[in-house]
Amino acid sequence: MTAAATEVDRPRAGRELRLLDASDTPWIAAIVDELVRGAGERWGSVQAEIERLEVASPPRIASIVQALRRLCGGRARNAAAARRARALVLGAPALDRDARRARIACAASALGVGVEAVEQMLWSDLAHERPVVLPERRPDACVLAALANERTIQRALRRAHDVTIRVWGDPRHVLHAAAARGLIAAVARDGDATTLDISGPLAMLHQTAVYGRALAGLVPYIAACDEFELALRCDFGRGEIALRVPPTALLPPGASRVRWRLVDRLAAGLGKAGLVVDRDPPPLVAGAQLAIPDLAFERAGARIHVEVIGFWTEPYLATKLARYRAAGALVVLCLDGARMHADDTPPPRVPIVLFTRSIAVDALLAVADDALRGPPG
Amino acid sequence: MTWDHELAAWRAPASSHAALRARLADESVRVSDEIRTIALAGAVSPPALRWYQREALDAWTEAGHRGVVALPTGSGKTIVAIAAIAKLGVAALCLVPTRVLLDQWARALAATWPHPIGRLGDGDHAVAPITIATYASAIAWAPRIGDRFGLVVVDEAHHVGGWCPSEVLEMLVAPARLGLTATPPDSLDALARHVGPVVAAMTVGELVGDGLAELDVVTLPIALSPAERKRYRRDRGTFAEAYRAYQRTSRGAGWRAFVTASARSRGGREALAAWRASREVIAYPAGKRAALRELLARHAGERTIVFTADNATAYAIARELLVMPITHEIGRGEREAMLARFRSGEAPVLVSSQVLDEGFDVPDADVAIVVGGTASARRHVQRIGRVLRPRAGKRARVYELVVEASAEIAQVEQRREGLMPAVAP
Repeated sequence: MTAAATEVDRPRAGRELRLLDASDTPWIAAIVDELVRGAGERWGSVQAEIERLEVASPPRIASIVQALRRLCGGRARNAAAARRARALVLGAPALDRDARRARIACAASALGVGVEAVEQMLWSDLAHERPVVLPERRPDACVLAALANERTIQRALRRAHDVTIRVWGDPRHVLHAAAARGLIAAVARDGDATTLDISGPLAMLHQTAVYGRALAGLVPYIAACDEFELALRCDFGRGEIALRVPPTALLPPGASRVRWRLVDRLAAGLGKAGLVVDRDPPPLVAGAQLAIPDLAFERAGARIHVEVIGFWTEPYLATKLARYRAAGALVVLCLDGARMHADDTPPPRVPIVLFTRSIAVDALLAVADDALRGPPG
Repeated sequence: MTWDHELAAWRAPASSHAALRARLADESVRVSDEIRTIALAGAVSPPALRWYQREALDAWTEAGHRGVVALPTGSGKTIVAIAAIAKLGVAALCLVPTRVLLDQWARALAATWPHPIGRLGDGDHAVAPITIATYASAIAWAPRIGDRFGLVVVDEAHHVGGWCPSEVLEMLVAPARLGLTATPPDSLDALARHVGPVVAAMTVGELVGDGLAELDVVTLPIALSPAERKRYRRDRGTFAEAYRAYQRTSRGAGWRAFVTASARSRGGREALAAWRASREVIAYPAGKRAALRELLARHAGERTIVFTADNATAYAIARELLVMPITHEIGRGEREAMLARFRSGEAPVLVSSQVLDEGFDVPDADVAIVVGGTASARRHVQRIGRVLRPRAGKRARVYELVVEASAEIAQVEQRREGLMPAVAP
């Protein structure tokens, strides 16, 4: 495993990330008008028309076009049908109109649809080739601005060295979402707020794209908090810059529920083994720092905490264990083998279970029993 | 060499290990060297070499097992690498740019060595005495496995210093280094420093009819319709006027600087839009449409690849003629199924803009039709290489459709520099 910071330097207050707000809605509405006019046309040509409007800077227009694409959807929905149609229709060149018509008709009959439907299906999953299909309601300019902002923040996170998120209200869904994504995070209490210091993808030496995607996936959970502040240090190729996202940022409604099947399955397995399981244990306080177990269970009169770890470094594991020790709690750490490299070896003599896909209850209990017995000698 | 205060020791890049050791031996300094590259268990059995492959291998050997072999696409560069591994009999790391090439190399090596081949990339993390790694995976793995190999082979070596970062090669102790490319880069500094000089080079023209299939290159002039010509003149004129004005005020500034400057003013943006519109006119006008149909009819049943300047044109052709487009948007599974149908002759025409240019295992084709392209000689050589794999009695044909009195004329002249005059029309 490569070295990534465990105790990161907090990003200094930097300049505010340029996001869209209510003042941008007039030009966004002009773009929506153009989209409505282009319904049924190829996305590629509609996009060219939108760019010709020159209602804002090209990157801003691009961010709204991207939001519109997301709202209209179609790519994933149509993918299977498009592939099926292409497999039936494409082949030797149809050099005259009759040959072309016959090929399409043949595919239409095989698919049980009309000729026009086949023509539409053929390219319906390709970004520029598929036709514009409007959603039921006219896209709202504010919603588009919020979606574009979400993407702008996610882009910045993908290029981050380190990130500090400060949230007010119940932080647990953010903490669990960070844990479920395997992010390397240090959590601390900061007055009535909770602060997460997270290593960014640029602090890692491998799997940066995967890690960056995981970090970007946190944005909807942050948006669901009562209030938040986000500060990051990132590099877009022109040197490092400190950025911050203001609490007033216009964002889509957040996600406040984290469904983590891995831990749900483990809880069910422990329950079946006759153990009393706490699926939502409270954070443990270790001085100014917090430890956030994913579940806890009773074993031989003791309370054992379980925390699932995704990406890790040796110092990160050591810090984590020290935090549980300081809180006077027993813990078993579960390390995801899929997020390790073949040469990575977890440190010896620590309560660790290695897993891929699911955590074996027997292995977990064996490690827990060792932890209960204490160090040998 | 730099002094590391933390370690209280001298540090040097792994790649300087062999030179350093030789220097210390010259100075009669006693050293303890813990690096032992592994000898291969069992012999590698390379296929018989053609004359130019043998010449290239000999030149590389004479250069002290360091250097770049430049051979056209389809002439068997991989075989030279396998022969080099067999000759040295040491553990070898082969670096390739793409996952597709990872598979292709694994297949070629597995046919010549009876032991498992290591793979790093595309979800695989297995290291073996002969290992293939994508450039991206090598970045992560080089610090850990850089002391295990005696030979490193860099495929598509023109990417050294760019896509294949120099740091990867610095982290490998391998004293023997072999670079393979069809198109050596203009600046050879990074390649010479980390792999070696170009020790053997053959062009398409030199191997046509011998190591490569016989080749005819035919340029077909395409006339624009009066309406198309009018549009082209108008748009090209708007762009050219703005570009000339920019050149007058910013002498020596490149295209990128022009684009950046143009984005800042309405006039500049209009010039760029006009440039794009002029390219659209010549990308696939009615004349190219008719010529393409005629060529496909003439070569019906022959495996043909149609190259376009952009994806939009590739899709336009696919839509019109119901042939298979190969672009980055077509997923891996579907692409493989399409290539299998192409190989079997069931679907004998593919259309692509860039994906098939390089780093892609395309089955042997007989005809290439260049509907549109760029001025890049490198890209052109790679494209032509797609039809040059030799086969008994094969005569490959390349057609270039070029709009008369347009910017395409200069592009064609420029890109032909990558070929020998013998294959130019």
